[in-house]
Formats: sequence, structure tokens, C-alpha cells
Amino acid sequence: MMDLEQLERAILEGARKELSPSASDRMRIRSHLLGNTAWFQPAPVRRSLVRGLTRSWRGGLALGFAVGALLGFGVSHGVSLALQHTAAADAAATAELASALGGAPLAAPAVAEVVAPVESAAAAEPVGLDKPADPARHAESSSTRRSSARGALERGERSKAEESGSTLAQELALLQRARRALNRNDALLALGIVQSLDERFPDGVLMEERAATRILSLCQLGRNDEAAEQGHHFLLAHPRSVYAERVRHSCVGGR
Amino acid sequence: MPDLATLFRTHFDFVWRVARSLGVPASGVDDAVQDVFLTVHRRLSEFEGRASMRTWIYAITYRTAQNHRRRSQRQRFDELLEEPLAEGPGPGEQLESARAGKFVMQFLEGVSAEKRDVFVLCVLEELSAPEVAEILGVKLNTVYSRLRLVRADFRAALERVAAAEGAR
Repeated sequence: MMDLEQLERAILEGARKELSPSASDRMRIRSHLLGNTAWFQPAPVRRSLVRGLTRSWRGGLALGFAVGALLGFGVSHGVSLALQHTAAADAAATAELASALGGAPLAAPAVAEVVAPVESAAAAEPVGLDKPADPARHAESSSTRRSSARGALERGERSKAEESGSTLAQELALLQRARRALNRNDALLALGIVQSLDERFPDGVLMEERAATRILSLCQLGRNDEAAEQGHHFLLAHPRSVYAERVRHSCVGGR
Repeated sequence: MPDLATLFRTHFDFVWRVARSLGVPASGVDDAVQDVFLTVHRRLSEFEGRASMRTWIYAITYRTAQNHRRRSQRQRFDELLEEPLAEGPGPGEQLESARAGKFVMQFLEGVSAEKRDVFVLCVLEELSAPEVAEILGVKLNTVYSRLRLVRADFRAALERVAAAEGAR
């Protein structure tokens, strides 16, 4: 029979062991951190989006906050990043963190990486951390979307914009939930959310992100055949997608 | 100044453990730990060296864990409390780490937030009282006082378990 002191030591030691992370926890967080660095990137787009919306449409500010909140950092982080960080500082921070954590993000493609650019997709074409999007395509796309949004707002189509903003926010929220589920290795839930997105937003804005999330969910569930089939279609349809590399590096790649 | 990779290697285990033992639910630990290191990364240039790097990171961890805990509230220990402790093999040499973890988490659930914070940092993580005082922003004597009380509570909890075990 051990005395109380021994018992206390044993329990504390056991508790430390039980509460400590595993090697896979360490790898996963490191990988997620690399993925999260993509969140630093689109500050200029967010800033211009917020400026444009506030100039013409006060309700847009609410969307800006909602988008910020959905991006994983929460409202305060999203807004403060949008207002405080310059593009150069963000890019430098991204590169620095990726480098500091050791290695190229693609070496360990993180689920978070795939969905993190959702925020940029909401305002412009997503820009990957490891493989920058085609600048011409990116500029054209984001410019088109921005001018299109501005035109609509200037025409005073407030209700349409509100409706569209609300729909986009909902789509973003669901994608964010799917991302979080994948981060927790809960691919079943992630896949369910993606299916719900298909039903609710059959013509959604973030289709590439959704497809990539679905493929990674299938990979995580070990449904490699389905993942390969969908990955094949994805790569055919979006060969230049910023997600293409990640899809290739998933379970789809080896098939 | 150490780089982020070094800080991650050195402090990851601590950050994880503190997040868990301060009540962040298992499903939220990933997010909490990421938040800590993203905050460290963002604010590294602001670190002035007035406290040790360790204390600075621990303070960020503590605040982040508090925020996450507030968000999750009641669900925080659900995963750990699913299995009743009394049905296990009992404390002693056979006490497995899983049960020890549950015992400690149940204990922490039952004490005040002030005592819990001191217990986690001083007893579980074995930080010095001055470090804990700095992290929590309280006087050194307050730390000692809370530590004395929470240790007594912990001993009492152990005695109850040991007595129950002896009565079997």
C-alpha cells in the first residue's frame, strides 16, 4: 500500500502523461500552423473589400465582420489583421512562419491549408501559401469580382447584395465548420457538411474549395477510390486551381 | 531571441497540457494551441525581455486557454468524465495514467478557478511561484496562499479515494 505522498506523485505523473500530446498531435498542429499562415495573406483584399462595402453599403460591414469571424481568427483578429497588416508584412510573416516551423508546407499538406484560403475566395481568387496563383488570373478574377460587386452596390441593389452576402456568409460558415471537422480528424462530419452545402448551395461561390474538402475528407475516411475518381475530375476541371497541388499530394496522388 | 521552431519544440507540450488541464475540451485543444503559437508568432517582436520567454509564452497560453474555456463552458470536461472513476481499478500502483488524468481533471472541476490555475501551473507544470504570480498577475503571497489551500484540497481528495479503496 503506498502512502499518500507516493500516491500523489503517481497520480500527478500519470496525469501529466495522460494530458500530454502525442507525436501525432505535434505533427498535426505543426502542419495546421503551416496551413494557417495562408490566413495572413489576403489582407489587402479584405481591406479593399471592407472599404468598398462601407463606402456604399453599411450593411456590408456586418458581412465583413461575419467573414472575419468565420476565418478562424475571430472578429477581432480578422479586423485587426485587415486593418493593421500590410501585404508585405503579411507575406513576410507567412514566409517567416513557414520557414521557422521548418520546411515547405507541401511536404505535409494540411487540411487547414486547403480550406484556409476560403476567405480569399470570398473576396478574390484564393492564393496558396506554397504555390502562388497565376497573377494575371488572380488580378483579373479579383478585379472582376470587385468591380462587379461595386457596380451592384452603386446601382443600389441593396437587397440583392444583402441576400448574396448572407448566402456567402452561410456558405463560408459551413465550409469553415467542415475545415474544423477535418482538423479534428472528423472526416465523417466534414463530408456531411459538404453534402449539406451541395443541397443548400448547389450553385455556390466556393465550389473548388468544397470539392477539395470533399476529396480530402474521402481520403481521411480511407475511401480512396471515390477520392481518386473525384480528384481526377477535379484536376481535369481545375488543372490550374490553387488546390490542384494539394489534391495531387493527397491520397489521390498515388493512384 | 529564439526562433519560432525552437519555441514550438520547447513549449509545445506545455502549451498543450495547460490548455487541456485548464479546461479546454479535447475537441478544442487543436484550435487553442494553434492560437497560442500564432499569437506568439505575431507578437514575438513585441517581446521585451522583462519576463522570461517561458513566462511570456505561458501567460499567452493561460489567456488563450481561458478564452477557449469560456467559449466551451459546460462541455469542457464531458469527454473526460464520461466514465465514472469509481468503476476503475482504484488508485495505487495499478493506477493507469488515463485514470490519473481523469482523477486530476475531476478534481480541477471541483475547485475554484483561482485554485485550479495555481494547481495547474505550480503542481502539474512545476513552475516557480514567482513565475506563476507573474503569469496570473497576482501577488506572490497570493500564489503561496492558494497553493497551500489547493494542495490541502488535493490531499483530501486523495485520502477519500484511498479510504474508499481500503474499504473495498
